[in-house]
Amino acid sequence: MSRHASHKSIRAGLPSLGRFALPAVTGLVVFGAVTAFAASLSVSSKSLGAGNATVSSCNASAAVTYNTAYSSTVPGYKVSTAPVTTAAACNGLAYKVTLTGAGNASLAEVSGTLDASGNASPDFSTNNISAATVTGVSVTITG
Amino acid sequence: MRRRVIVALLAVTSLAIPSLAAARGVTVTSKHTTGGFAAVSSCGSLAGIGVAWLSTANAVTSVTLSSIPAGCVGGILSITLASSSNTSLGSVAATSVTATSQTLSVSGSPTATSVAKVFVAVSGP
Repeated sequence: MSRHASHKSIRAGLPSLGRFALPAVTGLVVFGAVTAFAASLSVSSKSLGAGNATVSSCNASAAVTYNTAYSSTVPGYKVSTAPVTTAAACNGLAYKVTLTGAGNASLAEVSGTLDASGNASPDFSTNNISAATVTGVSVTITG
Repeated sequence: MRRRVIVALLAVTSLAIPSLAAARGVTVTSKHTTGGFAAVSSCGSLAGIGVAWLSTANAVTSVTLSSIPAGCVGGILSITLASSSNTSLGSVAATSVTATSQTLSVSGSPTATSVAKVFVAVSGP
């Protein structure tokens, strides 16, 4: 049995660790769970006749968390799913989750319908989005 | 008999074209529409994280991470040991970060001499 021990930093590791020290650093990915707070959106719609409509919100906030999976294609950890939690009042409504990166550029977008609890688990697996590149998330709920 | 036929025809007409009855009164309703954006931030700088492992008969059995940023405690940690061509050789199942130093079991029994890269991801807290 042999034990390899690192010092305080990856770069300061023993010789046997040195060859993958840099890849380990580049592979380190951290991104926090976030809460996406709902905001008012301007709405336009076609109608017959004249009238006014009040745009209401089914919930004040939507919480987004992340699940990751290793991908040799990235390579590194990619976003597999980004579960969204809202409220039961939002059940059956359509949602759209957009992951954004540098410059607020859209990296991927998944849409669907919220379940009976107002939750969803949009799957980004096929998009191969490196978790390290995600800097923002947008959620839109309509219905 | 003729009166009965006329009444029946009128009934059918109004049922078949309901929009005719509703054409004048227009009630506007709106759909729920909400949206928002949140920045995704890091739980801390990971540049100083130390990586070490324990191997038995050239097979990696556990990995020890040290100097994990305190802000990451409470998050979910995943680790993959990969070859130089990024093929996954072994991994650590997603687990909670409970301290700034943590030792975790590695599955897959990767050959220590084949491990070229270590990928780490922390989601949350």
